[in-house]
Amino acid sequence: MRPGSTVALAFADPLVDCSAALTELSARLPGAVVMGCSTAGQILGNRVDPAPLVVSVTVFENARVSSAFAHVQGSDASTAGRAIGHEITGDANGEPIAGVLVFGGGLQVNGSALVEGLSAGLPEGTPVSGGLAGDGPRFERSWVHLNGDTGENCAVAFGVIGEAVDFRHGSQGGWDGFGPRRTITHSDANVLYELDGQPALALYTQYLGDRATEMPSSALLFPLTVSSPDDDRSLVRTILSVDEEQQSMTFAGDVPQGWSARLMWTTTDRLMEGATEAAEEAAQSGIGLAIAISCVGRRLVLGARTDEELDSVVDALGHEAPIVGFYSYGEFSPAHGPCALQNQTMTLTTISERVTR
Amino acid sequence: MNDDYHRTLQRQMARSGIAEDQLTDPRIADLLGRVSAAYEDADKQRYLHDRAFLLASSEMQNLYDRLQSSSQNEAAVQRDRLKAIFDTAATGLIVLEPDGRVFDLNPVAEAALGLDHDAMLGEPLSTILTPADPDDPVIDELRAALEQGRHWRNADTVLMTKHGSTLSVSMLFRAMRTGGGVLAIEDITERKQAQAELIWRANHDSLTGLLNRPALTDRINRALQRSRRYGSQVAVFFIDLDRFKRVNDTLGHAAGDTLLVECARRISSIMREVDTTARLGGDEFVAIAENLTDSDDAYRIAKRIADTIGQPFSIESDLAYVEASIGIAMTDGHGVEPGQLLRDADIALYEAKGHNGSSVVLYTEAMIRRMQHGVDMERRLRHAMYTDQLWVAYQPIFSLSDGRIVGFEALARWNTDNGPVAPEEFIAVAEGAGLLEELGKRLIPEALAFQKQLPTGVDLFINMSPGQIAADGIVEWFDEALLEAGADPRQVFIEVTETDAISDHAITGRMQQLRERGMRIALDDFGVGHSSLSALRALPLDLMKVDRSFLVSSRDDTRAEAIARMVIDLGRLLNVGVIAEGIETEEQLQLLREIGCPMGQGFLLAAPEPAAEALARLT
Repeated sequence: MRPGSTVALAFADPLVDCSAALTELSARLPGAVVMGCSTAGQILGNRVDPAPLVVSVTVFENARVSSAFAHVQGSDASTAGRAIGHEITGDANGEPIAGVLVFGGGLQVNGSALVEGLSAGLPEGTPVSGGLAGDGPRFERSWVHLNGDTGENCAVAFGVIGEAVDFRHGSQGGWDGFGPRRTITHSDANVLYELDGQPALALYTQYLGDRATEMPSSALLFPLTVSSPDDDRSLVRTILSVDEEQQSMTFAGDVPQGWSARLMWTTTDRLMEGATEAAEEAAQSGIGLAIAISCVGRRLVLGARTDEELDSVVDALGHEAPIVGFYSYGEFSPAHGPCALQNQTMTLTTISERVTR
Repeated sequence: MNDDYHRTLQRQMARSGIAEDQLTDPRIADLLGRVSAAYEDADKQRYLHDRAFLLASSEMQNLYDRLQSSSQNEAAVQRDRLKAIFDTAATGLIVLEPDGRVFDLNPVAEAALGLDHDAMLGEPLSTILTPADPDDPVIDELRAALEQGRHWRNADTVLMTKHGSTLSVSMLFRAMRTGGGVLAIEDITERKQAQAELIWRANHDSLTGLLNRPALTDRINRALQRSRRYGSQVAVFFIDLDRFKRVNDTLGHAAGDTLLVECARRISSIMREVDTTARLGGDEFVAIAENLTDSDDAYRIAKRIADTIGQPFSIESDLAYVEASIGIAMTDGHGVEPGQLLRDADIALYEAKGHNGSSVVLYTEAMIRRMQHGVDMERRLRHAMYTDQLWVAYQPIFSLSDGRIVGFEALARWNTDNGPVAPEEFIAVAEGAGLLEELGKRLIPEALAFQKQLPTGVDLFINMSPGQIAADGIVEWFDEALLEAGADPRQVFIEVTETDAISDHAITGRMQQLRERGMRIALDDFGVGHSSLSALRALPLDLMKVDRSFLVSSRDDTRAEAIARMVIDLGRLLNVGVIAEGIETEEQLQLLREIGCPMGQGFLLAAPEPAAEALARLT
């Protein structure tokens, strides 16, 4: 096996200790990049696999793989992202980087800042995709792993260097805003305190009714779409945790004060439609690997029919495409403009390599 | 039946007659498990969706209600405000529909136009606004502005109210974008009346209601224009009341005002409708008569004015008498300025006043020359008083029985570089300019010094006007002057000219004071004054000087001789001395001696001469 030609992606159930398995994996695949994270559901093919660890191994014919690991100092995910970007760029040594896949700790890492720093550290236009690690529906502990190193407040990434490799991306939600548009009257980065001068948590409690006790996971059923008052930028934000004492809610991305926010809802069918559209965007021929990162909020809505979302993806990408992935606490995709943190989406990255014999 | 299955699924299985124990195929069991789970998920989803739908609906409804109630509130507040402004505006406001009908009108508009609010709603414009002048186009103008949706203004028009009275108004129409507009009507009747009154006041004398000086110039101007156009003459009468001051002083200013008002009425009654009468202030009036043929016309009018003013004035229980002096100036066919005509009449009046009142004088060019001469003389006299051109001459007074010198009359003399100025000329100027007092104070000390050199039995005669005697502090001044000169007051006569004022208490009191200091009083020019005999009775007199008009110039004039005898007898009877003045012929002197006149003076006997020459006569 040519060193640097192989990448193994590993997605693990956070309740199961998989460290030994990961060590074993690295031992079996010397010279390979072994990268992974905890999830809110491991995807393999067209189903959420009940197995605690799902692994894919991809070997590039000509391209090589560069990886990097970074600790996030405090809440400065941007610097960690930029360091990773610089390391991969240095490895590429002038060769084109076809694309970068990044995973961040799902509870501490500010995904917005991470991808912003990462994009800045990479050559302009390098496509970046990925997601934030999950912890089932619990939102307590998540981790990322790279080549033997595992950490919570960390980020890991690999980039594929070579001309013959194509990254394609697709990302869709299937959520719609409803009810009044509210103003974010008090927030601090990704912590939301008040909407229209009222505690945000109270609003969620009211809307969730009986299911308020299941927060924070049940709050994912009503994500927020936040819109800039200055331009038409609009982002979906999903909840990570709640603080009863502070009456605050922490989201997977920034909720800037002064922006407007609106509750969103969806149905099972709308989510399926979204998954199909995302897969159609990412579809290409000769897919060597398809990475599906879907939001934990979708899984909560889909419930028993979660697998049907994956059926839609398989139908759109073709049954030959190897699909692996996970339910996440946030998705990164460059499908619609520069790479940004998404929430409540099905995000697909497909990789193909044109092989010359 | 598996109770774990969703109830709907359980019912569906029961209807289909499928019992769970019949399901041996594990794939069917798996399917039913998935279907049941999907039902459960759908229920949960629906629960949240239903809840969210209701909550969001209710939130939206609340927002809508809040918005609506706040906008309704706002509209109500706005309406209230507008209504309050409308009802309390000081200006009449009429809201018009696009077709010109009345939508609303405020209380001020109702009151001003005499309209009934409810009856007027919906009425057309022409019903509520009726111009006083049927040809006034305001209604048409307003209607056009309304139709074209533009603003319109009319600063001054007169409307008829429903009560039949007139109303001066200023109107402003403001078109509204939505059609129609608001007509603001301001009642300017009072303002216009006030304006008219202001104009009237600016042009009239408030006491008499006659025109005043500023208005007069305009009237003269217009009269002159007509005069030029029709070739007729215009006369300006400058009327001044004689002895008006006495009315004010004796009967009070209110009586004086009453007299002036009556005067105004009397003068106006003489003038024709087209003529003008004005009061310039004080007791000065001016009348303008137009369409005159010649100066005789003007004289006739002036005489009638003088006559009517000469009639007694009945003021409360008193009768007051004044007379009028009138100066007349006429257009003479040449171009003349209004100001000049008035000035000429004033000059003629000055002349008339000089005639002792109640006379009428027509302006002539000679008058202005005289006046200018007088002004020039006054200027030179003021100069002379400080340059020693003035000096005192002494005319001897003789005892007619023995030719002995019994006194000298001190007489002011003025020598200029161009020769002497006649005393009667410059004394008159000094009197007119109020310089007499100053003149006296400069020359009397010189005369008193002369007196000191006179022997006993030769007296000094000093002339003083009543005004000089009335001056404050004159007695004290004499005390000092006598002391300074070392003169003997018992040898000093003060000659006072007989005039109207001489009987004033102030003057007789002063005479008495002077006599108490040893000086004596002589009445000068006896016989030409108004009240000679009563003056003789009232005044503290020591001597009479008989005016030259009483000198008999011919032996054939027996009448004159009889009067002269009588005067001399009068002096003897009253025990006052008599001096005959102005003896110029031997014949006069002879006659005076024959009738026993004790003393005399005149050019025949000796002319006034410098002190040294006068004193030389005594040695």
